[in-house]
Amino acid sequence: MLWLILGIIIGVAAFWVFNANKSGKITVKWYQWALGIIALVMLLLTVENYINFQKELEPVAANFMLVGLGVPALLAASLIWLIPVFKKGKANTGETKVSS
Amino acid sequence: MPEQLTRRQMIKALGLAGAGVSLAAVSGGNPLNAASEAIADTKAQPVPRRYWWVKNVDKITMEVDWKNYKRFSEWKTTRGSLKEYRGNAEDAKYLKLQKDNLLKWELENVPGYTTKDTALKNAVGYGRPPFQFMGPQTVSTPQDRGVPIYEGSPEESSRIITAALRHMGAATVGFVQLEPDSTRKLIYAEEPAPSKKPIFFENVDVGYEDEKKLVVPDKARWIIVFTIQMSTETMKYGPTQLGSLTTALTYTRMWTIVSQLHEFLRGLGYHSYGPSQFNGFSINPALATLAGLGEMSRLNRIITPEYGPMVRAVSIATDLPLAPTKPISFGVMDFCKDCKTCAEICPSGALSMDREPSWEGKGPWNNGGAHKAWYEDSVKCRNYWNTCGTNCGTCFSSCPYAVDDEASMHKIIKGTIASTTMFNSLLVAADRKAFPATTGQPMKNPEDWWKDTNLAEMGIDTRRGGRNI
Ligand code: SF4
Ligand code: SF4
Repeated sequence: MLWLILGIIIGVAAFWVFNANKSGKITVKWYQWALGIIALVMLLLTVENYINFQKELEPVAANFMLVGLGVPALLAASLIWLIPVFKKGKANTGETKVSS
Repeated sequence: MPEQLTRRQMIKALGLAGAGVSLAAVSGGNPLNAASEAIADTKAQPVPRRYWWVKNVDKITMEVDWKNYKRFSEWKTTRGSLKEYRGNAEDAKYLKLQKDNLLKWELENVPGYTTKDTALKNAVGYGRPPFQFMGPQTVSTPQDRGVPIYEGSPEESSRIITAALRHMGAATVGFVQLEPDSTRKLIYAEEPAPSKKPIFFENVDVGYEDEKKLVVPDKARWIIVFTIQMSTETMKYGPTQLGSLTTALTYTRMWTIVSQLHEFLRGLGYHSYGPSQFNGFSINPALATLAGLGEMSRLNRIITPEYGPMVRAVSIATDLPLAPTKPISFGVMDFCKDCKTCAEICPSGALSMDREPSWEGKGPWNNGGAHKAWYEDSVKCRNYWNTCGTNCGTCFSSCPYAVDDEASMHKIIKGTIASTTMFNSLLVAADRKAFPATTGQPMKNPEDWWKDTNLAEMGIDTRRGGRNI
């Protein structure tokens, strides 16, 4: 059941991003697609392994998954937003330097 | 020689034709010699349904010098000669220490050693039918029932034996063909103490046991070797009594399955020969490795792809022609070079810390000299068993392969190990964080085990292995 719900949510989100990108509402760069896919796979693996390690009665291993796979997944996801912000910031600083 | 004999070819090989003649086989002739010879070189098959990362190979991953390999006597192991190896005084000292410690810890209610743990450990060791060289021999034979003996190609026979054994409670099943210059040397030369009877191969129709010896007929050329799953969960409570009931229960199941297998073969119209005492017949980890059930490891025991080291292995020989199974490789021998977790966690320092396996045994309890292994100092191990009061097993429970298979990460990691050695050190470090183990301590609190009334039956998940791949 969990996987069905997750599948529907991910499917709807992916459909929206794809259409919005096509219609020009948002611009998704190639590296953002790549990071998004990597983060999504890592997040799904984290959820699956966390649940199954708990089933195996291994709470330490389950928590290890949250830290070892879940945190890098969130970092990868945050880069989707951070890289453009960082780029924009750098460009603005560059402009200021030229104009001074 | 045909790879697969049809029923017609089989009957031809038997030199027989028609049902009436099949009945002649029932009445005590010796048609199986012809069949045995006809089928002698059946090509080895892979063990069915394995993970994608398990490679079928032609040679086992452990080096063996068959020319210099000698048959070993079981009584030379520490099971049979511990007293000689450590001396009378030392032996008495350790036996007293074991008795005193178990009493003290039970009185003090030490978790894992309490009265309930002790009672359960002793209880699950009950109910073992006695091992008998040729099995119980109680069920009816086809001859008794007035029907022909079972006939099938070696591949069919291997399949029905596997199906029957799985139903009896075995985990994985493989087959080895006995060759006088190699694999036959894995049958012990002498059985365990106190009888120390020699085991001979003779050109007779049916084997036998008398006062002086056990005789396996030359025509019993096929070994059926199988593993029995142990509870990964209860093993984590080693070295306590609660951890120790893991092997106790598995041996009880093994005793039953071995007797049932003998009787199954008898019911098909064939003979079988196996242990007359505990571990009394063959070097089972070696046979299991040759049959492709796993690879040898630093534990000097087998590690299987499905259950890691959490198995016991046992074998019997039969005159029912069977198709041998192929050895496998999935990176264990290389991973053990980088891992050493078991050796580091071992409280007695019994396991080898050398990076490479060696030809030299650690003492007369090892059959060293003709195969490369990580030999263990069995006396050190046994001394610790007497100290902790049980058969310890913490080297098994701390092994990165001693895990369940619910989480996909296990398969990803095992697949990675099988494909490259590049990440071995990283994976060992991660395993020690995810499954922390401390020398001489259970990995989990034994009292918590008693609080969970919904654990798997017998502590094992029977969906693992073939069904769950
Ligand atoms: S059973 Fe215990 S003492 Fe023996 S080798 Fe394993 S960890 Fe060491
Ligand atoms: S603990 Fe490590 S070194 Fe020991 S048998 Fe298991 S994988 Fe090999």
